[in-house]
Amino acid sequence: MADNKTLELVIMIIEGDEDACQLLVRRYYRFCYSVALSILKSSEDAEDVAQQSLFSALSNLNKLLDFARFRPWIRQIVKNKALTMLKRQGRHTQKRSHYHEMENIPGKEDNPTLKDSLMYGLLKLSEREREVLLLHDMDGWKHHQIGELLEISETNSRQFLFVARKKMRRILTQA
Amino acid sequence: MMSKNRIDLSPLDPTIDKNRFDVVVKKLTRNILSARRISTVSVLFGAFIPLMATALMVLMTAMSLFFMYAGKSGNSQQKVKTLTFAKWVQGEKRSTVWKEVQMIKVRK
Repeated sequence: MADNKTLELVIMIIEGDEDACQLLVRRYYRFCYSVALSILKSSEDAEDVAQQSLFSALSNLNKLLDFARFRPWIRQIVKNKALTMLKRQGRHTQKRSHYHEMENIPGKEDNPTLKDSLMYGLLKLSEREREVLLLHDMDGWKHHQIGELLEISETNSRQFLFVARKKMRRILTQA
Repeated sequence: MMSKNRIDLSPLDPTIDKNRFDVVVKKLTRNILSARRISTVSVLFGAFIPLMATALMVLMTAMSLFFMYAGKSGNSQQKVKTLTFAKWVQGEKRSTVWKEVQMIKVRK
């Protein structure tokens, strides 16, 4: 699951290497942020969760039994923290539909910024579509990597990305 | 190389502002490293304290067994006269040594 470089960095951190820690943070910051943003509806919250997750994961690295499963492990930490944040904010409902909440989200103002419009578009996607789009278009992941991480086929990943991009383009041209 | 179909999500990317990102990474790394140091120390102490407590208990048990009255056996009165405490170390019976100790205490 984890590439050789990540494995190497994880082992170096356990051995107490400080530079390796910084390198791994840099390497996984955007990934954690992407996963968090696929669950939360604010980029600031997503960044908070990404930082908390990295802190929690890397300070408890000794609890990771199989270093090769670093990616799924840290993704699960991010997801758990994001869901906890949602619950804490009282926004989480079992079958949440973002379409019913459009009045309260950014991008509905008269002069939305590009960031707001992107956020607005992302919130119209399903969680899976958002995650695939963010991992692929923001963090530069390949379809086989996304498929492996999300436990879906490569074709499925392509399909999710295709639908997500189509929806996003439509929303962005309307905005 | 960026695909032409790619949606430009850079306004949402937290790593675009390089200076800010550097500050965040440095701060986060510092916190992680200090947390890791603390957890290492606590693990060491967590193992050390129970180990010391066990060692102390074993020592106390050994001492209490050593000084415990062993009961009468054989012609102890006679042995008390001739034996010294050091002889116990050489392999004499504990009951004999106990008598010796008692005698010393009475004399005082």
